Amino acid sequence: MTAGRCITLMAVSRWACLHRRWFAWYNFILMFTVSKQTRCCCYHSPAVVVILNSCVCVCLLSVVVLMKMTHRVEVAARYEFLTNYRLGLISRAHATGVVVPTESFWDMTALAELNISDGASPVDIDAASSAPVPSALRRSSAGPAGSPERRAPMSVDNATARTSLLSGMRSEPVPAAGALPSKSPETVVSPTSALKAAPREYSTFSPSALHKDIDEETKQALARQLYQRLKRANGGRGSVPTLLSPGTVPSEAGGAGVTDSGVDGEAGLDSVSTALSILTPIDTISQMFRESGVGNFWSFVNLLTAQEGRDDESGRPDVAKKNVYEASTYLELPDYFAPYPYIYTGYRVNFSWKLCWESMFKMHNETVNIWTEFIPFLVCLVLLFVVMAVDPILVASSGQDRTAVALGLFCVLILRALCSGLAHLLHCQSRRAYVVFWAVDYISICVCVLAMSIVFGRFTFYCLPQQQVFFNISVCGLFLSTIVSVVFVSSAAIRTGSFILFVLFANGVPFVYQLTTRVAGGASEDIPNEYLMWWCLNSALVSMGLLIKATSIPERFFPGKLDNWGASHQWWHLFVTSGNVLTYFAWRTYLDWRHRTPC
Amino acid sequence: MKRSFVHTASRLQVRGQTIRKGLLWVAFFYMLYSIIEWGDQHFFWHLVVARAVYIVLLLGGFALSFVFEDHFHRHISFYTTLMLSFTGMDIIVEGALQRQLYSPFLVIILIMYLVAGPILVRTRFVHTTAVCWASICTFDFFSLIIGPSGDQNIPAGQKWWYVCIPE
Repeated sequence: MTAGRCITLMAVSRWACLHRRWFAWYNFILMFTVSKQTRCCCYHSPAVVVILNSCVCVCLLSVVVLMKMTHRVEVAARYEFLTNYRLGLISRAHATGVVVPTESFWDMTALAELNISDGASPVDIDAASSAPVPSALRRSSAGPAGSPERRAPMSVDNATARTSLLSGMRSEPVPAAGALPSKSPETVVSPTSALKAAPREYSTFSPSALHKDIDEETKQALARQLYQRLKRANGGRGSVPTLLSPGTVPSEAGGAGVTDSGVDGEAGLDSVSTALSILTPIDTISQMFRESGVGNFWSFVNLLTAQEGRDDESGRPDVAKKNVYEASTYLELPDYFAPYPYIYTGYRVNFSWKLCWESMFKMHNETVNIWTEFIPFLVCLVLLFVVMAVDPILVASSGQDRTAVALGLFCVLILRALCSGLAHLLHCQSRRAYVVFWAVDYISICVCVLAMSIVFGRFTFYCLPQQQVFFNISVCGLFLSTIVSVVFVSSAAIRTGSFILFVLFANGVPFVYQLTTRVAGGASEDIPNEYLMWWCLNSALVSMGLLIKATSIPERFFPGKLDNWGASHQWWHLFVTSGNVLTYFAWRTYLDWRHRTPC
Repeated sequence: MKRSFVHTASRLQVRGQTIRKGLLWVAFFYMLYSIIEWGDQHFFWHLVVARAVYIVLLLGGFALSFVFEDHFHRHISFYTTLMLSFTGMDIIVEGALQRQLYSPFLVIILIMYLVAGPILVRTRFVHTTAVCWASICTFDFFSLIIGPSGDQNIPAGQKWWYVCIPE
């Protein structure tokens, strides 16, 4: 019986290796059998279970060995079948008068095999070989085994083309259609090695998939890029004949453009359209990192340091550090500098350290951002010491609670505000400072979320120490993954996804858990309403600030008119700071209640 | 050769990002599951340790994939298999700690997981086999240690209920 099962399993797996999706069901049957046998036999003897499962393992191993032995033959058969299927489709299309597009090397070699020219132009293999593989050809798709598309075995002369076709690469130029290559040592690749080198399946990834709708930020980036090119074309003197004034930013797909001749008009529109088609709204820092090809964040920073003072493309010296205050428009920003959407003037670029600090007291588009962080920082710094010393509730609470609240308040109210203010103040010095200070700002936000979640988690799972430990480990793990994503400057999707999951888990889980237990009438049913109200208010304010920042309201409706005052980033700072201050009242309320209600 | 390299590189890049996203999502949902369903009180600290180790493995794998980027891309199938094996083992270990080793629910979860592996992750045959093997061996090991004499049906009212407690 066992031998019969083994043979059946081997046969099934041998068949399943050609159809991987069906192989999943083979797993299903296998595991079902094993578990059923385990349950039935455990009553009698555990040794039976071991023997049975060992048999299954031996069967699997045998299948693996068999697979290895027959791997090459199997792959060759599979690819020959697929090739014949494709060639059959192409020949059928020609028979019915359909013009086959010759846009890829795969198509070209296929047509060469069939001695068919598309009739449109002489076949340009070199051009075709660099063309992308059409999406229809990226995935292997097999037709029925007995389909009429199957062709007779190919001639010996076609072996090279077929091998190249199968391997998806070309070692030597392949002649055009009608002039099939002779079999030469240089072009002959052994079918086995070619098949081994052949990708089993092409990914559906396409650069065009990254192309998203063009937003305002991209348009600004485009305008800056065009301006920089013009500037270089004019010898770097910045005397571009016709510039886009801040009020005439390309509003709708390049409503006003800058051409090579520096004139607005249709040529400008073409330039804008062309540039728009190749630009993708990806994060500037990530893009620079990827282009640099270095291993990690600090290598990237070092590379930037080495490049300091040099222009990327032209190699000419970069603009020297300014020692006199002079604000720039967004058109004059360097490539690495991402401007705020709808804010066109008041940017500081290449400032010296001294000038950066002096610019705190001058009006530009970061002045309010700086002071909306520094003023709360100074006030909270003083208040924190006062509160921790004189607040009767905090003084009466346990040492662990006091420490948790003090650290939480420090990170939430002081550390984040300080880092954010410094980033707004000092990022304008250089490319390196830009990357480092915004990274520090991002990390300080993550630390703020972590500290807040640990305190709220402590209060939520106050009487459940095991869950509290697990929650803290989980939050710290997500925090580290978010930091790693930033430090190693991974893709924007990974960074954003990691951050969102971190915030959702860190803030959402304690809140939902607390609400659920209260509604369900669990252990924390008498949690004071005031505590939940402060918490809700905190979340609402931060969410409101996030919404305002994400939608760029109100400057969206007054582009270029709220550059210094009233921009969304300033409102974001106010909302976040206000929300964070409320955490103090929430924690104070909880400690007051907990002091009277032990676990 | 260059074209083939580019295709392979882009494919690996995409697969690398997919694996990383998968690690993050699995870790996130596992955390949610752990918080919602805390299990048997008798093995509380054991559960904390087991679940924390699994979380650390998942997120550690995520972090290390950035630190050793090239190595990760070259051996992506191997590390996928490793993570799948750990997940299978974790399912069984959690079942054992909660005294649910012979539960039909555990078997169903295990089977669903093993079926989902080849479909979603598209692991190769050899790697799928390794995962199955690791799961089966772990299951056998805990069967021998915890319930060598089988499971137990306990009557409840007028019916027989399967409570999956090893004798």
